[in-house]
This record gives sequence, structure tokens and C-alpha cells, in this order.
Amino acid sequence: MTGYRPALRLEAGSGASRLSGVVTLASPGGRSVRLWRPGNSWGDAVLSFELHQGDTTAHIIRKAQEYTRNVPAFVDIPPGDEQRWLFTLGSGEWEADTPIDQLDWHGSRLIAIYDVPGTPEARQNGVWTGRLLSAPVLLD
Amino acid sequence: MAATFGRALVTVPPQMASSCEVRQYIRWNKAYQTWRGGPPHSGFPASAAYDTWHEDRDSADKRYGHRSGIHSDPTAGADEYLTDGRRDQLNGSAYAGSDAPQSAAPAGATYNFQLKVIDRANADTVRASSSIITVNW
Repeated sequence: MTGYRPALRLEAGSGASRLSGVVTLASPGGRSVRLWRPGNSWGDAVLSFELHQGDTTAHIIRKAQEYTRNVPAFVDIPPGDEQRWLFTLGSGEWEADTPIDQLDWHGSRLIAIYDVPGTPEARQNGVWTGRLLSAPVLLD
Repeated sequence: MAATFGRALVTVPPQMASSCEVRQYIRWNKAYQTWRGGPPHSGFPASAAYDTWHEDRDSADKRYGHRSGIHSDPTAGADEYLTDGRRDQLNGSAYAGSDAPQSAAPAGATYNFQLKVIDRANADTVRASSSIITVNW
């Protein structure tokens, strides 16, 4: 699926943990978009974050998961609808080069990255592929 | 580490196709359970024991081969019933499934998998069983 880009939005920094929030992927146009569903290795790997602090960038990815039933399941998002992921980066499900609880997030900028590689499964199922970056959110 | 099962077609007895369903079962060993500190993921109850067969599922408790109901999760080419190559979830007599289990478990940890065809109209009588597949992590 090319030529059509869903819209990625990040809201973060307002909860009890500043490194928490919600990522929303919307289908804003007049057509639906097919996305990987979370809960399998295809859908869980697409979301990551970058935390920018001065010249330093921490890449935050989901920890390796255990999958027993692992199938390339997808979901169709109708026009005007959206898919939402709640996240808490300090929950233990996420990891970075530096332990997340040691990251200095004060005054940093958090960016969500939605990156879907063009795997054979994506092509077979017509799942949207590409890379989206959210607008940065200032954490203070 | 990851493993991949090729796509498999299982033909169930044609006279009762709609009442038969495929199930996938999994068993992990003590080394796995010791490393993990419990079952593989939250789809299994915390009390799920090693060296015991459990019906396989994902973290949302979706399971292979259920034609309908809360565990049903038809997925193209990976968990669906077919008639003449087209999805026919309620009545299809062929089943297409695949799996790509993944684990970060150390050497010595294992998964076993087995498929069965059960007859829902006859007290889940087992109509057919596959050989057991072993995945050594």
C-alpha cells in the first residue's frame, strides 16, 4: 500500500509517569487502512520511541516477547477511525540502551515511530507499510 | 530465536466437516518454566504447569481452529477454514494454519506442539492427531 499515509499522533507527559501516554494512528482520508494488530510479532514490533535530550538520543523499543500462537493478524481501520496504543515506557515492557528508569527526560523531546517493513506477510495481506514519525512532545 | 511452521492443510472427515475443529496444543519443559518464571505469556493462566499439554493461544486468548466464539480469530492463511480455496469459517472442510513461535529462552528450553482434530458434536472426540513437533530454543 503506497501513496496513502495514515496520521500518527503522540500524546504524552501528562500522566503520573511522564514517559507514558497514547499513540494514535488515524485513517483520516476517504479510505480505510489495514494495519498489523498488536499481539503478534508483526504488530508488536512496529512501534518504538526516540527520546531526544540535547545531542543525545535514546532509542526505546519493546522488549522481546514470547509468542506461542504467532499469526500475522491485521485490522482494517475505517475512514475517520483510529487505532490507539496506551504505553508506559517504565512498565518493564520497553528497553533502551540506558535503563529507562535512569533516563533523564526533563526537558527532553519524545517522538513516536511507526515503522512497518515490507515483509512478505505485509504484501500478502495488503497491510500498509512505511515509516511515520510523530511530532515531538516536550517533557517537562 | 524464532521458528516457523509451514502452511498446512488438514482435511477433516467430509461427512462432518462443520462439527470438526482443529486444535493446537503446546507443552513447555521445566527448563523453560524456570527461565521464564511461569508460562510463556499472559494468555495462559499463571498456574499453567510445565510438561503438561495446554491449548495454544496468544496473549489475547485467541486460539487456533475455533470456528466461532470468543477464542476464534480467523487469519488469512494462518488460521482459517476453507472450501474450494475460499474462507468458509463455519462449514469449510479444509484448514489452513501456520505458526511462527518466538522466544528468547536459553538452550535447553523446549516447546512441543501437536495438532488434533476434535469432533464438537461428539463430546470433543479426537478424530486425528499429528506428530509432535519439538522446538529447541
